Amino acid sequence: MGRHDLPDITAAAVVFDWDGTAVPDRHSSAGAVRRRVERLCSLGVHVAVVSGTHVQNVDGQLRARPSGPGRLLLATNRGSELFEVEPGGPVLRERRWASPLEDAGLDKAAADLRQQLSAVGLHTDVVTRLNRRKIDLIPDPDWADPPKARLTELLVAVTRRLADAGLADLKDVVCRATSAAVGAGLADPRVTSDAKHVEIGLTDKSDAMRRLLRELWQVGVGPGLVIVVGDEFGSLGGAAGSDSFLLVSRARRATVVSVGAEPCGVPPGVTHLAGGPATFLALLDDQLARHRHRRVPGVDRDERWTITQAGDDPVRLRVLETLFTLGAGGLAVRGALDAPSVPVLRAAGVYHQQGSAQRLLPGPDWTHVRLRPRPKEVVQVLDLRTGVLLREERELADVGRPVRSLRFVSAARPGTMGLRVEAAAHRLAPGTVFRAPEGLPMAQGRVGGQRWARVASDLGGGMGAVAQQAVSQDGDLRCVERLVVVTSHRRRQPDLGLDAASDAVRHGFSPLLAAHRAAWARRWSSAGASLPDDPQLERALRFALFHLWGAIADADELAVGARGLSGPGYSGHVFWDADVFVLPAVATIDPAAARAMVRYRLHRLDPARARARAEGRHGARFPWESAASGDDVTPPTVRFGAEPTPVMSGRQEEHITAAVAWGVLREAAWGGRRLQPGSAELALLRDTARYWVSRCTVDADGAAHITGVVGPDEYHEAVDDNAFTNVMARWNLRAAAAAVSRRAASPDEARSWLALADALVDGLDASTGLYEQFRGYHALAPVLAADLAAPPYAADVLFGRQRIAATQVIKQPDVLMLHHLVPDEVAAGSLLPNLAYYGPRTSHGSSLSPAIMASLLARAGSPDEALSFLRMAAQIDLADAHGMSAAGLHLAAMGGAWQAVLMGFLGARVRSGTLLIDPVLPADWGSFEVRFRCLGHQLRVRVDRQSTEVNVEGRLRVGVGRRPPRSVTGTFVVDTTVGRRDSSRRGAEEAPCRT
Amino acid sequence: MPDVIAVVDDGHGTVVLAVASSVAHLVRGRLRRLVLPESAGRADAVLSALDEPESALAVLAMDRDPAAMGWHVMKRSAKPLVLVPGGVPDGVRPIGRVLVPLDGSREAAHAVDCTVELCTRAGVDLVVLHVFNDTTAPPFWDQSVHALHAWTEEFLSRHVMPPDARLEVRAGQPDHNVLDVATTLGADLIALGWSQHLEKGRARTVRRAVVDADVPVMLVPVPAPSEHQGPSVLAPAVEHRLS
Repeated sequence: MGRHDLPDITAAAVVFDWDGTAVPDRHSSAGAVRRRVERLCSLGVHVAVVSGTHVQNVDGQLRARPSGPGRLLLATNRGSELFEVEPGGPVLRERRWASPLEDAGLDKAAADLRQQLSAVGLHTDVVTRLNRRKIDLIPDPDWADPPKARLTELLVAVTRRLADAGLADLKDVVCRATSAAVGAGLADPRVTSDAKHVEIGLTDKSDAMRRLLRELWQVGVGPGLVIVVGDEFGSLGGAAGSDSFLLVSRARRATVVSVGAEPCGVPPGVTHLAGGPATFLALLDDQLARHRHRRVPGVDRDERWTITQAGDDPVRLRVLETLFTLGAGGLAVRGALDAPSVPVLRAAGVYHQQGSAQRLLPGPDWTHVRLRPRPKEVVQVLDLRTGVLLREERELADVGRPVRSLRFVSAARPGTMGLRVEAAAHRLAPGTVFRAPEGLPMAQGRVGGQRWARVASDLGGGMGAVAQQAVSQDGDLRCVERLVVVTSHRRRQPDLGLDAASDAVRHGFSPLLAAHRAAWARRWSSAGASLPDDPQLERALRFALFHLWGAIADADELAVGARGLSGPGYSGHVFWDADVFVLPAVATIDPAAARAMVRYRLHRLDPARARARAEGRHGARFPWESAASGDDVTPPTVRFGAEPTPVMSGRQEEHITAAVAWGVLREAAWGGRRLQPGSAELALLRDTARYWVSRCTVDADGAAHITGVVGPDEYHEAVDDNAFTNVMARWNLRAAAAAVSRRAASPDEARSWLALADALVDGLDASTGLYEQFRGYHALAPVLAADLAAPPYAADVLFGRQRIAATQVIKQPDVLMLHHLVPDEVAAGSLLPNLAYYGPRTSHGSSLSPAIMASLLARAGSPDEALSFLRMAAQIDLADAHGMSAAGLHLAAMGGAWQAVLMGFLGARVRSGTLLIDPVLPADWGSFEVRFRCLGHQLRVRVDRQSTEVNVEGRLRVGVGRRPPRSVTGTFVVDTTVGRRDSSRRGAEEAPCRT
Repeated sequence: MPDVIAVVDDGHGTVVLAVASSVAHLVRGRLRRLVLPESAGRADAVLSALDEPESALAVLAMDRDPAAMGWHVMKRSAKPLVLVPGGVPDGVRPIGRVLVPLDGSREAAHAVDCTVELCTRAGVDLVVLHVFNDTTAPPFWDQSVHALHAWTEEFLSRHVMPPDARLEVRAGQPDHNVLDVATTLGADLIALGWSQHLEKGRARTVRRAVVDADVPVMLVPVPAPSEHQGPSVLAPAVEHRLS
């Protein structure tokens, strides 16, 4: 057997049977296995042993003491125990204990079987083990402890013995054992045979395998990255081979290899190599060689977690660059192939140039390798679960070994990135590591064995990168590996990460990748959605969360541009998208990053004050588009048509000021933080309130007005008393009055804020609950969106701004946005009439629109309609129906989609330190589960048609539906079927509600 | 060197010759005159001349009369034509700016590939025009300046336009916009891909341009759009959607 016979996979975990697979018998030396296991673990490969015997036998023989980062797990006693080997030896992680009743049942089943066999003249012995009884079918001293090498011989001897007793075969005995177990009252007996014994137990290797897969899943290793090795997958005398129990359904993507004799062949999907422990050692050697040769690792192609693109349509290339962006720690790399259409590397908050032309500074491109001929028929796989991008060329006769590559941007070590490429040696040249972004000078050089590059911003900031490149050869394959550390600073040239780069090299690619996978697994265990009945939407939501995570960081401050770091679109400018759409979502997946987003605004309070002053106002006015300094960088004109026309958003979309204040309080509320006296947050609340005071005019009747604004519906400009702007200003004034301490504002001033808030007109018709979007809106041509075209459509583009401005057609929720953001500031019961009125008037010409509609419709009790909008929102970039995803991802739509799930379908709200949920289910979903962070706690909520199950880490006040909130910890279940009472289970601990 | 056939008869001979001369200069071709017979079979004579391997395209006068020879040639010619509407002024006018209206389909873009290449090589200013309609207008258009920039860049990229090509976008009736933009921007030639169908309701822009434009109109035959492609090159083809 040569290396080419071994599985072509660079695995992240190896799971193997012990006796007969790893060692010939329990007395052989396992030194060769030990050395390989320890080496694999040091490379970040996880290793697990599955055995029917107890841990002392396995550990006593293996005696491996790996120091990580890969884990060594021992699943012993036929699935009843799990140990993890630490430096001091195996530590029990989990053990299944039989109840006295189960133990009695096992004894009885074994005795009954023994009696049955004895009745036909077959003498047997019974051996008691943890959670099982072994019935020895051949208690002959010659067969006391037969090595696996004698399996065929053993099987013949046992079969002959059974035949002498008139029994058909082993299967016959297994059937009798199963009947005996059921007859003894065992609910779920596991009956197996290794030819010598028939075992009746409570667990088997399938339990071990499921447990191991769960452990591996938690460190980011899915079944597709696992090699499973055994020696008894095929049947034995008609009975299932003991290793066939490893073939659980969750392991279906694993690579399964048998090194046993397999006299009856192997089941489909199992590769039979034979050769016993020698082959097993060769397999481990091959895995080690793959790591040594820097071969490209695989990904687990789980279609619920991967985005796969086949083909090389040039039209899609730029879109895929965006969709396959990898980001972490405020740095992101577009998923460009060998000829990127736009710069690939960006850092959050590092801008270049001045005014409205200000944009994110592109960094050195470190992803290029020279491949000739260029890859053809490439399949690209973005693994959302582990944050890696794999590319594979289809195997073609004329180019030899196909090109494969894998890259990651480490979620475990921000700034560290890795790339491996392999191809036929004649095609692949590593080439220059760094390429300058187009149009910008790039300094570069060498330090020791490392290359470095820098790109400087004309604003003083810059990006630096250090790379270590290694090339190796594996037969006719050439492999290139790059480990890169990127640094950035928004105001000065960053230090090159030389130490971090050396550290990364010391760790090595494989351990770094293992840590990266584990970091992503931790993310997904803390936040995400499971929609068992809607896999496509489930994956789209995962795609959204994946990219939200990729755009954020726990940093001094975090500027989240409208397209994140995934492309040049919107120049990295920060809009209200960040405060209202992205931040609420980020607060539920990474509270520290949400705080960093708030700090971006806090750090730009002075420019906001300066702008207010310059306009003759008080307080602080935040810019519609913000970048490096916090000055407004909105482009002044647009040329759509023959003549340039002014862009009014920079001048008139003043609601951004209230949105910034809203974001500050939202982050604090979901984070469970009280704003401290003297804090920058309170200063921002005070100054935004002061702005509104200076911005409002009060008429002779004492009514306050805000005139000449643009609301979220940007189709109508220079309007007066836009309900959204006025109500948000009112909210801002009231929130400031409630939060700001006496030291920050005098009681008189706070009272004046409240008085002004009460005086602000909001366009509400109390008799109908309907808000007029702005003064005069109802007098516009009563055109519905569907009268013009099928929504969604960009009405201004299609019909012209002037024509649309004369109608009631609006771009996105405007009045309705109030119901989403400040439901306590609008009239009770006004959601339904406003949805009924404004819904049909909305063209949804903004990518922000569908997600908010989804959330509102869910709250309005229309979950099916809500689901349609959620699907639309979640597909905005994946479908790229607008043709602009190439310029970057629509992060606000992604944040909005996640908000629609949490705030819409789950109905999650935080009020006074209490989480309130009120779930709804669309007809297409039988259930859904969400995981998220709230109030400093980790939560998991599962909703089905009968109940809502809430799991809280720690103690938290939670209210479900209309029930009063209560302090809970652990898991509790609320019967949400109308008319039923609550119940609790699984150690739920509930405390009475304190008011 | 390819032949540019100037189709002349008594009425428009001078204008056609002047346009053909400019076109020949653009394509670096050789000008060849084809004098039409007065009898029937005039269209066949043009098509026959175009069939010759060295013939690259023909330049001929266009008439509003539906029975005019130009309409017959248009429908049947496998090679490009430059049609000279009645309003084109006399005199040689070098081609310095070409307007390329694209409806967003791959086919239309492909049809004018050659023209684009010729223009680039000749240093001619290339202006691409796209007129949004309800099948090509993007559903979402967030911030007008940034969206326009992103959409423009992507449109030009997907149509493999040279870096210095400029995109004009308009909304409304394509036929009206093509003529309007050609006039406003001072285009010297309009290059259109078309599917050679003149049935009622089709080729409205072509029909209007070839009679009402005040500049010559180059028509390049294109195959019908692929069913899988969707109406716009900016909409992903079915087989290229993500799995």
